[in-house]
Amino acid sequence: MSDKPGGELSVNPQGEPPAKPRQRVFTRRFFVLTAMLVAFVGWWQWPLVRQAGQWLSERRRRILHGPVPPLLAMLPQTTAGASAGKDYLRQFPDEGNLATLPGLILPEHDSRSLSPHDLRKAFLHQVQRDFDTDQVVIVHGWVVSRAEGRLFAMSAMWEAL
Amino acid sequence: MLLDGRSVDVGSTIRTTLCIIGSGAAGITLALEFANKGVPVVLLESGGLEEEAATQELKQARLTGTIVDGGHWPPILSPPDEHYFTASRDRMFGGTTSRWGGMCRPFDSIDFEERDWIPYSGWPITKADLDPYYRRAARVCEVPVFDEGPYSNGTPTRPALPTGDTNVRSRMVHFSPPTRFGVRYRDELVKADNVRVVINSNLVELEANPEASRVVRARVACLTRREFQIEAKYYVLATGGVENARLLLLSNKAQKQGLGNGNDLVGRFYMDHCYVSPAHKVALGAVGSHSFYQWQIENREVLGVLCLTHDAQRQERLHNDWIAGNYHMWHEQYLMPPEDKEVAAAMTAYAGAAGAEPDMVVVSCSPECTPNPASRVTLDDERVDALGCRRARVDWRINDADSDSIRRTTELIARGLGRLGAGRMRLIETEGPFPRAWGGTHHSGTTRMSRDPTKGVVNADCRMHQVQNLYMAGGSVFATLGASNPTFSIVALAIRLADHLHEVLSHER
Repeated sequence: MSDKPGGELSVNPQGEPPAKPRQRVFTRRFFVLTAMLVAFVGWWQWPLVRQAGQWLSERRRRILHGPVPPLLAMLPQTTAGASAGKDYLRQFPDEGNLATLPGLILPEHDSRSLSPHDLRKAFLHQVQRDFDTDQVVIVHGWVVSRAEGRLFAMSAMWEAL
Repeated sequence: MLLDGRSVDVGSTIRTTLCIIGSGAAGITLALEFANKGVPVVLLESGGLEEEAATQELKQARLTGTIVDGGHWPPILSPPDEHYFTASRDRMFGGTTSRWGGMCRPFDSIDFEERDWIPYSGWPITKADLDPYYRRAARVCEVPVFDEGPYSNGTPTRPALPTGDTNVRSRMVHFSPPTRFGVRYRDELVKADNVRVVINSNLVELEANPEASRVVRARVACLTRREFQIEAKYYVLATGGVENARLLLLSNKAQKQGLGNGNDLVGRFYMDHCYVSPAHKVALGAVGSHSFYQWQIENREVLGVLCLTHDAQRQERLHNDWIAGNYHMWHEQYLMPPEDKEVAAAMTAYAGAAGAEPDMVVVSCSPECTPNPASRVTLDDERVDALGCRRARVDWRINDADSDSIRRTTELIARGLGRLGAGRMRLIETEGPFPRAWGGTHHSGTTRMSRDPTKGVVNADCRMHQVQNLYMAGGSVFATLGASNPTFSIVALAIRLADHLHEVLSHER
């Protein structure tokens, strides 16, 4: 019941003041001003923007033509080990870099310079070496060598690209 | 001679030298060792020559405890009731061998050792003490003599997993045809001139002298309410891991807490195998399929299992668990999730079998359980059987250390398989209960063997510490259960007991 004559409630039944109408943030004016700001920064810092774009496309080119695809080609699908790979990356977040993972998997080889047969042989050799030196991880329940864990991590990162 | 207890005169007394109660694997083996050797023997059996419902009903018991209450272990049965016992034991001539799967393997030497990381472990005998009897047990169970050498190496075309310098070892399990003792040995016993097989006759009490140091007679009842008694020089109770304890507890006229139970040990340390599925395995490489094999060698089926070396078990303070491939587990709870199948396919591909389906199997573990005094058989306060005897209540408790051992053992074997290039394993759940467990129905430990009367019910000769002329046969005397199926060891121990009794009787002549 109201505590004032006239019966109007000054607070809602939970004792909170009535809510103010929310102001919209994403107004038309907001989008126009943002677009103008981006256009101005782009014109003002055009060389820098172009450099960033080039860096991104170069990185993508390097990945696509780098050592990652030959390694992933050993899998029936490039994303086959993703579930285990995600767990590997949770355990070893520092290794989450497609540029450095191939070198960690095969420290003595460049996967691009090896035939698929030799690459698989080199990988299995590394797997054996890992098991022999107790470089074993448990990822998503799988008891695997560190090299296998890294291959799966690569698979997970590739899936996220 | 074959006698039906229902035709024995009411109130009469059968006199003999040796009274064996129970005609399962232990009882029949013992009787066989005495057949045609002059010593009068009575072999008493609760059931008849065939299974009968009224007799089967006598074996009901109530199952309670951690195994059904949950905790770290999942419920083993749903609903958790007496079917665990009715479905796993037969009261008839031949006992439970009538439904035996036939798996035979001796206990390992480490099973007999006292291990400070397994409370109450250690037998008063060693594997070497039992080895000669295992060789004789092989004849009774109709399996080849266990010789780890040639068989574990397999034949040239069927090599076992070459385990190299890893801490993994391949072990072989033989399969008995399986021998149905009641059928296979009935004629031999019935025709023996010194053996009387008395069927349809239930032991209801072992009556002792006032000091409870000797059994003076066995009181026997038929389901027709006909009663008679047996007087013998020596008695052997061979009625199974639950019934042996129950019958001692029921025999409480001279000793209130049960015959031979002065130290409150009868019925304690109940053990059983609680099987779980701790992993999946993907076979890789040329020898991948050789880790868990099921082969025919010389027209006999054999099964390959994996375990850790005894040194590794000591170093890691683990139980003597083994794992095997279970090719019959297709329940959805056991199947590998799709994302893991992809991982398995990836492994199969880079291991050299591109395009091939992954060779996967559910792994099941036969664990060695920790002897636990709180895990026990007692008498049910509420239920009695058709003969007016209180039923058994089995409070089966499992130690969480057992599941920790299973997990670590499986992981170490997985590492070993990786080193051997034979496969990879996916461990199921790294913490918490296993998704499902099932009992081995290997009831044992309830009259355990120990040199010390304060720690066990029978001595190294299977004689009750507190009752001079009463012996125990069967799994109830096991101090630890190991991972192997128990029947082969039950038979070996029964032969050993027979030799002991022959010696005792020869001294008396």
